[in-house]
Amino acid sequence: MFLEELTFILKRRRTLVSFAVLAAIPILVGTVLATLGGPKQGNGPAFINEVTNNGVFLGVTSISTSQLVVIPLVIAIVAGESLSAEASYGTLRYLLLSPISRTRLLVVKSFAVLCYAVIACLFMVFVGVVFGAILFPVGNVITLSGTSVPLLDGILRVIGMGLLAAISTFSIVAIGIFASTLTDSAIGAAAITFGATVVIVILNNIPELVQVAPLMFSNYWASGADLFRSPITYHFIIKNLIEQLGWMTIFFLGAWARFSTKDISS
Amino acid sequence: MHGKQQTELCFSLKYLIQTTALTKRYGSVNAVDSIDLVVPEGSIFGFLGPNGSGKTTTIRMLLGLIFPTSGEIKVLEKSIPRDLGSVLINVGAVVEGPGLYPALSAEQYLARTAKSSAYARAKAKLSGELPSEAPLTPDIDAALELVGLSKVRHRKVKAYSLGMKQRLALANALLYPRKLLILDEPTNGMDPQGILEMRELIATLSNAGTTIFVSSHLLSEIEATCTHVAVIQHGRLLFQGEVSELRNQLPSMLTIGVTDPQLALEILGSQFSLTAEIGSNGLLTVNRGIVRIEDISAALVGAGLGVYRIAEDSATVEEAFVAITGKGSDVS
Repeated sequence: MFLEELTFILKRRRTLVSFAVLAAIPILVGTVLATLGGPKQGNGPAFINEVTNNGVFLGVTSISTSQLVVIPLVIAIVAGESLSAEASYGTLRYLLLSPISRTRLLVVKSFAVLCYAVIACLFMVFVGVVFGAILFPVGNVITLSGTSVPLLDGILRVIGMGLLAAISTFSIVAIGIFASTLTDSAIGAAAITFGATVVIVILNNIPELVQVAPLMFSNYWASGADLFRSPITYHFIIKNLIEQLGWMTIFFLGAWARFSTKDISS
Repeated sequence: MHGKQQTELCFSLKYLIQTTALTKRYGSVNAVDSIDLVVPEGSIFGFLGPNGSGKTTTIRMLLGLIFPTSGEIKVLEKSIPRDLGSVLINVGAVVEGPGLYPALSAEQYLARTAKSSAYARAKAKLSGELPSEAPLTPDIDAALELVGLSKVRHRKVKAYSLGMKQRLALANALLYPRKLLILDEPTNGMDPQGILEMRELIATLSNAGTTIFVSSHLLSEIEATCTHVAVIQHGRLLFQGEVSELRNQLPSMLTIGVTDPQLALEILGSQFSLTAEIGSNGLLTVNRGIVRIEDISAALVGAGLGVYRIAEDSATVEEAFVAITGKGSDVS
């Protein structure tokens, strides 16, 4: 059922649209940089100055520009509709009657959306690196610390950053699944999820809240950039992983508590 | 009489559905109010009631989709919702119409159902709850053939009519051999041809040993197919028993032809307190109330009269049923 669910998600039209959006970011950014040149020093998102020197960084820039809005948006849509779309089609009851236990269905759905998140982020990185390599020169990768690492090593770090970006969305996935157990409206669940993410991101940027900021799931999203230090510093990366694990646990448990006791009247 | 004899002879008579004081409360309203259903094995059991009477709520509880406020449920002699998984393996169901993915074809839809049930079936085979010869993967072709959708199997469901969607929902319920089928208004949206085919299918499945629990808001539908019936209104059971017994409880107009109408008129009045009229053609018409037709005929024959005709006006049966249960539109 897991493979069935994953292909079911990937084949849906709105999922295909989400991949088009994810591909559009590196293509647009790359095209703009190739035609107009890079921004003045210090402006724009992280690593954007590096792109014209080394196309590999187009993958990195795409992720860091999309991490706050575009990626959470597509994840919120896919996670939010996981159960609610089944409910609104009336297929949820037939899945349960097939039979499959509620817990098992929830686990399968959750795991499939987590996989989608990983595929989506790696897809964006892939398009970024390939398109960057077409538009710009590629070569040894200069780290934030100023040292140089071989191209292959650099590409592995870019992929690692994509993976960390995906893991950074795991709390959003869990919130989306939870929201999906609350309502039979796919749009509603996606809106709740994306809304919650935006609120957290805004709160996270309010200086007065710096004391509680570490508890917010977006606090360490930028930690993936630490892969481009030499040597790599894992401190914030690990904090991010713990943060995601914590919020995932809370919301997946909430989703399970809700779904396993819910009256399915759709 | 026939039913009673059966009960006495077959000590092993099993009830495939049995509820005890089953209640579902929404706010202050009892959608289902303390009902005790008993569905014997092998029966075609009609669950009859107007729209909004609690039929679907009851069915959803039987299938573990919603949880009762109080009361107990046994399906296939196992407790719901505790043993839900092992019960549902042997139950096919259509609940409140079809639920389909518009972008999938009939074949893809059934394949998805099969995959979602694969784990539960494999587990049940290992634990011996399903016989070892039970199929692990379904015969999708056979299921589509059975409901007459073979020709449109590759067409996306969004291009289907409601009747075709109903057929697909039925194919989904029939994907595996079942002990019990629970069908919630399965003929909704079907054309007369489809309704006839559905009746035939129900009869065929019943002959093959499947117990069938079918809901409807049409008495005629139940009378045409069922052996047993329960009538529900406002969440309460008004009647439960064999279809022939229900008929006796519904007042109807009789037309009676006898050799001595005048004497018959007096007998009906004195023995049953019924007021009959003699028409110009010499036939008696009488509203029998809930007096059984066989009692009336026995009394007339017993008095030495020749009875050459007793006809029940079936339209008045339907009217009486509507009078008992209400039309549904004013039901909360």
